[in-house]
Amino acid sequence: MNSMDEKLSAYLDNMLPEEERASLESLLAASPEIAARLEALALANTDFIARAAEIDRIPMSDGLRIQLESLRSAAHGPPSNVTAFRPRSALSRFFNDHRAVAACAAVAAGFFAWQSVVPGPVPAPSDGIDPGGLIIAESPLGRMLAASPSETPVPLGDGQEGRVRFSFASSDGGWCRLADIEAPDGTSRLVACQSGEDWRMMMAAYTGPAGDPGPDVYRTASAQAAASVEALLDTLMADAPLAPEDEEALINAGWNQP
Amino acid sequence: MTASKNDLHLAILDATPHVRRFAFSLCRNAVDADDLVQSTIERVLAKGTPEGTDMKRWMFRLCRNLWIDGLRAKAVRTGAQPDLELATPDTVSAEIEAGGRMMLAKAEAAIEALPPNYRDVLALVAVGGSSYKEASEVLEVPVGTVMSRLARARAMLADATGYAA
Repeated sequence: MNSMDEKLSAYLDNMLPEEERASLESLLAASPEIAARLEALALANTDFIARAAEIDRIPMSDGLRIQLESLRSAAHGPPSNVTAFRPRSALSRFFNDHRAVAACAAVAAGFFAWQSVVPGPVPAPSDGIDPGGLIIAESPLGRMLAASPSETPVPLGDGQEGRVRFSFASSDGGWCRLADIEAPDGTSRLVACQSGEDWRMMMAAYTGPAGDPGPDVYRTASAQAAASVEALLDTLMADAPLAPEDEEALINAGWNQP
Repeated sequence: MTASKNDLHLAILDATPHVRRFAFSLCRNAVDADDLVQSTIERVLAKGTPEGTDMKRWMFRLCRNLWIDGLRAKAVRTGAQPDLELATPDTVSAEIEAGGRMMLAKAEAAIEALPPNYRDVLALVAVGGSSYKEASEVLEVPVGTVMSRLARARAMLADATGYAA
């Protein structure tokens, strides 16, 4: 057993004592190899959670449905034809517990890991994203998420261009957006969701290089991480992407419509 | 109906979505998972719950035990030995080494091939939200074993899926 894997795994579960946690975060910031290992373990964890959540979309067997209706009827009186099914998702808990670390170990792993995962418009957590994963409203990224209609290119500075691909209602009842960021050195895909008045990074994945990075350039395994964005969407999306007119109405309302 | 029985039913209803995910992460098959959840509910209704027990945790424990019983029964029927404790990581890599498959298919295959004693601890903690202590009580193993199995399970999935750097 690799003791570093154990530490990283406990870190993902938020089970490390404060001192060990701080020590590990310093190590993550200093070591791209360890940051990449954390990313790999986090991706695997996310896959597992996402697969478990797939059953929420599968209709219950008749036997279980009838059994639950019977329990509901006994507890509440007249039967209902639907069993309430809105648990707090483990995925949400995972993301909340680890802030924007999520599957890509980005923020907590520090500046280097963040850059390697998202070589786009958010070069450092202090420049667009706070250490808690909140996207700063006044940053170019924050403004794009708040106000840009889907499929509209938005200059983000330093030769980078962002484009929201679509918006959707999340299974937790909020609003989320998926966006691509094109930078001279690669493309990233991110999912951000509303958190109060702000937007919070849920996941960011490096999805492709702009060219051959050469042998000396560190890159995480994030081309594969795009699959985890898909898995996240599977879990997070309550319904189809919003129609343009609905999205426009929400933008105009500051994303405050229920 | 007595108030306590009413409470029991409500607690079961509240816990069931979580237990269903938990069961699905163990069985990897919706039909089997729903059967497992049904059996779990029947067990709770028949035997009740110990005083002061959290229903979700209790149902996880029953569900996991029923699943293990099912694995053992299946092993007896097929003549195979239930390998609940000594599965090795090689099982995963051998299963999914076919190459050329999409990442999601690889992830699915890796999860499918995860040995039971790694799958249940990951289901308890990652899906069920159990603490290490709670998981150790359900699995009846030390907390250190929970930690090492979790790390091993994630490492096996990451390595088999190709996430590892």
